Amino acid sequence: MTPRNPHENRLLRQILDGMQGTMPPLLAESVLKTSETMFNQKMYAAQRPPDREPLAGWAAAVVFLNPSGRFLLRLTLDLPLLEKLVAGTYPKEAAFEDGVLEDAAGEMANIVGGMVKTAANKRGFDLARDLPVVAALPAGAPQQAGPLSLDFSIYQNTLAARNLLNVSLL
Amino acid sequence: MADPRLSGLSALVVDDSRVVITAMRKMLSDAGIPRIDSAANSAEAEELMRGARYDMLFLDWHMAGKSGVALMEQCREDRAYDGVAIVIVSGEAGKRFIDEALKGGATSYLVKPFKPEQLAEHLDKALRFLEQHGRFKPA
Repeated sequence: MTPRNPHENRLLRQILDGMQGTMPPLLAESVLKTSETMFNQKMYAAQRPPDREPLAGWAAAVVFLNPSGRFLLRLTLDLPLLEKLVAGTYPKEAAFEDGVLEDAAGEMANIVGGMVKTAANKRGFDLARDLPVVAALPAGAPQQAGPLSLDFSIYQNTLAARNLLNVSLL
Repeated sequence: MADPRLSGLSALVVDDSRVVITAMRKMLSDAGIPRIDSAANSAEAEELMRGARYDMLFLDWHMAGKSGVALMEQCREDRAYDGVAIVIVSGEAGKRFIDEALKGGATSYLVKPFKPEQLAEHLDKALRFLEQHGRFKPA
């Protein structure tokens, strides 16, 4: 993928190098903890299943920035996963109201983004972040649009995070 | 399990996430607080606070419009809120944020995501605050 902005590459590279390989497990831990505490759903980390057509869902993106640049964290959550998550939180009659799935995706990204920021800043990065921006993803849409992304899927009838180790640079 | 000490208290939850509001309302209700209102932003919260008095406010730090911390500081400038326990809720766990919130008048600082047991610890702090301000008498 062609870099859109060399400064974005540099900051993300600095963060990943500075975190010495701890970013992927941190993201995994953040997602699993958030799903258990806020959504009452236990998940486990798994390797990505064989390639298949991406399902429709929502992508929630958080922009991180400091004086040396910016980068994006994007969580992609497909509809079956989001429906499972909100079912653990909402009363049945409210679980499928307009905006509920989108809101759940945004809050997942918000909490995970907070944990990433806290961990990075403990290592001396002076990161700030924006509120998450959430967008609908049609079925088949590429699930990796940002410089750093996580994809989620239903796997063998169990909530599973996939691509947890798929951390890529622009 | 419901805590009988909370049975006469009221709370307002302010968060721009519906899922957080839903989860917190359930946790606070399960903890034993009988009256819980919620608002999706600071403007809605101010409207509710004009018509009702709450014992505890749970304010999300990062919201579009006025932040939870800005709303807390506004409350702390008003003597009517001297005895109201204010819990700042945030995904930020950095010491700088916690210190800033506590310095600004927060009774405690709750980091998202949290379990009911963690919320219970903050309810204890809120109860102690209410007791110090004469708004709650332990049995």
